[in-house]
Amino acid sequence: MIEFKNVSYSYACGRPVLHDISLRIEDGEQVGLIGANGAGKSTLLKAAVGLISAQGVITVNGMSVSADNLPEIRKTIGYVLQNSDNQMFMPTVLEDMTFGPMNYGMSRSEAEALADETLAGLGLSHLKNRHNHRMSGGEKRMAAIATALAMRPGTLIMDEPSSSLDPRNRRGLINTLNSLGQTKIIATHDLDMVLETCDRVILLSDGAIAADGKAGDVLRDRELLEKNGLELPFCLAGVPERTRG
Amino acid sequence: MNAARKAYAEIKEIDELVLGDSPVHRLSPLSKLAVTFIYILTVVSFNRYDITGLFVMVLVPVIGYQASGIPVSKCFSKLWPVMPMVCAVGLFNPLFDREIMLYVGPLAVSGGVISMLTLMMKGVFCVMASFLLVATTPIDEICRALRQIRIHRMFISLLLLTYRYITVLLNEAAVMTDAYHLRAPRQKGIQFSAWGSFLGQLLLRSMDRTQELYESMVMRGFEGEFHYARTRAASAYSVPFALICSAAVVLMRFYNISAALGSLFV
Amino acid sequence: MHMADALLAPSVAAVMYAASAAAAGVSIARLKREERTRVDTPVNKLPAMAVMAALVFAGQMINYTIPGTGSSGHLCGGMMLSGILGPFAGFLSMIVVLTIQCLFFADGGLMALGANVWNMAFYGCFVGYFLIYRPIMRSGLFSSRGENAANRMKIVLASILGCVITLQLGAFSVVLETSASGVTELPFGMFCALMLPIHLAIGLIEGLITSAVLLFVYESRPELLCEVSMGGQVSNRRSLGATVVALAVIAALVGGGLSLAASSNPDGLEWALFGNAEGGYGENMGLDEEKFGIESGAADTAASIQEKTAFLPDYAFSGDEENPAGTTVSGLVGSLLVALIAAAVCALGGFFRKKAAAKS
Repeated sequence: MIEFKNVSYSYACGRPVLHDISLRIEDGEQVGLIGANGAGKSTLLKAAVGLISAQGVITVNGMSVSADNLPEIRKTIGYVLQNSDNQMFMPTVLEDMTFGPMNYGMSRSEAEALADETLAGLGLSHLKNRHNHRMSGGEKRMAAIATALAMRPGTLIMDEPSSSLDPRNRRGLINTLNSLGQTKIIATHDLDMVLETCDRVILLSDGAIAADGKAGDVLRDRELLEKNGLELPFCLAGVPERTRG
Repeated sequence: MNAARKAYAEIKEIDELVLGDSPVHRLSPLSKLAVTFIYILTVVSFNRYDITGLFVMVLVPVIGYQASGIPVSKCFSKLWPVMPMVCAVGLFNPLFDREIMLYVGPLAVSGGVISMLTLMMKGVFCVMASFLLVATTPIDEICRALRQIRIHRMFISLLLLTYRYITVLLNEAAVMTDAYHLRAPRQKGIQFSAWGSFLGQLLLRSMDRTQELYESMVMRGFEGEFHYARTRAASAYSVPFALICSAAVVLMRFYNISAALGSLFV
Repeated sequence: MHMADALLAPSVAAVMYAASAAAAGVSIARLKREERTRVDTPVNKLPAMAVMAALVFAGQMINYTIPGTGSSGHLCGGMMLSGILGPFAGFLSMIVVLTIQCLFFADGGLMALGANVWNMAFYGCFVGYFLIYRPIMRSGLFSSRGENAANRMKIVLASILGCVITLQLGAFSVVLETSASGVTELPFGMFCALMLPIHLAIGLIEGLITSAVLLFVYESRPELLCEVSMGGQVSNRRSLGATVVALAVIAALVGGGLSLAASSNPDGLEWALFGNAEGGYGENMGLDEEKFGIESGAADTAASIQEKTAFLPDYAFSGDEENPAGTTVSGLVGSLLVALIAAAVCALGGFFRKKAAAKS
């Protein structure tokens, strides 16, 4: 369970990013975090894992996000970055997957067994000894998710997971997300994916919550979306074909 | 293909080669490192005129290449970086050292020519040995060997991380170079007015990357220690191999095997 | 400027390895000390060092066209790294760059790595930073033009001067190391005359590239640069004096070395000038006091190191004093046999590989 109480944050130069955010995400919820560029989505996620120090109170599974609790908190949250190259920093996938568990005290053999199991569960065993620079964008993204899952987290936080994926890889991602039971918070512009994977949607606008409700309801509100710099999901809007003028 | 792409291709090629499975690949990284060092040390210590004694040293890398399944020709492209300087330095020898040392038929060969040839041979043999080491030992095993000889963790972590990021940045540099040339087709390199911004942009993006990378590491519990890989168990023959090979190399140094072989027939 | 293994004697290589290792040890100790006193830990620094090292590597692949000429310049990176990471972190990053170049690209030999680190990383990161970059950046130079303009001009001056001087030192060291190893007949003076002017030009170009990049960073993210004063820091003219002294010392060393080589009474450097063919390489290390008249603690140390390792060079001749080169007939015939054996090994290897391929 993750709870934000009156959370605000400004950059060092003074520009405000988050305004008095209060919300609560229960175990098992599948939450889509949407908003225009600069709305504060990534900042909110980083605050949840203590990568930035925001004002207000943030609690994760009953623990407040403070320096003492960070190791425990981070053990329970798998964070998937937008740029897989920054996430997969060891030479091979296996080493990346054992990195986290071994830092938390697991032995090498245990960590490798866990990695094998995780990869098998995702159908990615063929990537085990692959060098990170020898994978396609889609493979890297899936490997990054595997890396986050290797810690057996209760919550998955993902920043733009479907960006730069081709349709097939995107479909694979959606299927994978739907098969995983963890609590998920997915920050994304891919509203169609949100419809397929999330129950609840939180719409951020200029650092404040503009809407918080069922995915089906929020994403069908054309006026709300357009007012906040977004559009209806393609599957609901019926994308017009290019006409010659 | 621009230089960044070529470098990227070279790293990828070595990635492929280390995945082989041969007796040489299976040897422990420390034994290979030790033998390579002993070999290079010995080759370099040969007297500058001892050309026939030196020549027999070629057998060690040749056998190594054959045993590992790696074509010797692969290492010849690795000669380009250092051999020009070696040759440039050596080319002056015949000019200054003109004392005739031997006659090959009617041809008078001066000491300078011999020392030039030995210098070049040494250059080639050393590159062959180094490349064989790198082509049969993955980077994480090299790091393991370095750790075993007590190189500091900070350096090894840095080596591992840098190796990983070289491919990322080479890729970015390659793409940026291509993008530049699409708009400056007649230019061979980056022009003066763009020097600062070209590399500067890459630098700033890299600094942003370091921030994300740092976050990614601490998110997974990193506190300064890397744990090193062991992707395969070392062959039991590693230590005997190292001892026998080193002994053979030292033997070749002290006894002119070529002369011994030749004297059987002459 | 990367040296091959073939250009170094084991003793010289060992000394350079020791020197570079000592400098690396100091750097690591210093970084660990900063870890204990700083709020942002060097865990933060490690990613920055790795990415910057990778950047320097990638940056070296970029071709900078020199205006007016058809040729191109390249980046070495020592000054750039130390300007952004500081000298100690910059030094370690350069070592990693050189190590990877050595291992994966055969750019520099494995045994010569210690020498290459000294020639390229040590001078660039320590001499360049402490004696040139930092004093200039902290000085009151150009202050009449306002802080912003002054900083920009100081960056340019520090980069160019730093690159030129550190590359000269590096090139000079290459000459010293190669000559001390006895692999070349090239007289010391002539070797210097070949290496130093070329590297002066290279240093100038690299200085320009470095200053262009650092200026760009200064314009966009000045907080990334070391020693850049912002907001009216008090100028410190005295630290510039250190630079002047250092430059004078360096000039004297280099100039003195060159003039000794060129002088009509070259006792001091006879060992390097006349690569002694008859004595064999062992005696020709040249630091033998009796023969060549150099007396110094350093020579003693070097001689004792050489003695300890000289069991290899001294045992140069395989029993035949009249034919020191091993160039007897049997030697030549034997070499031919060795070549045949090598070819046979290759052929056998190919045969077995084909068989294995046919089976699978």
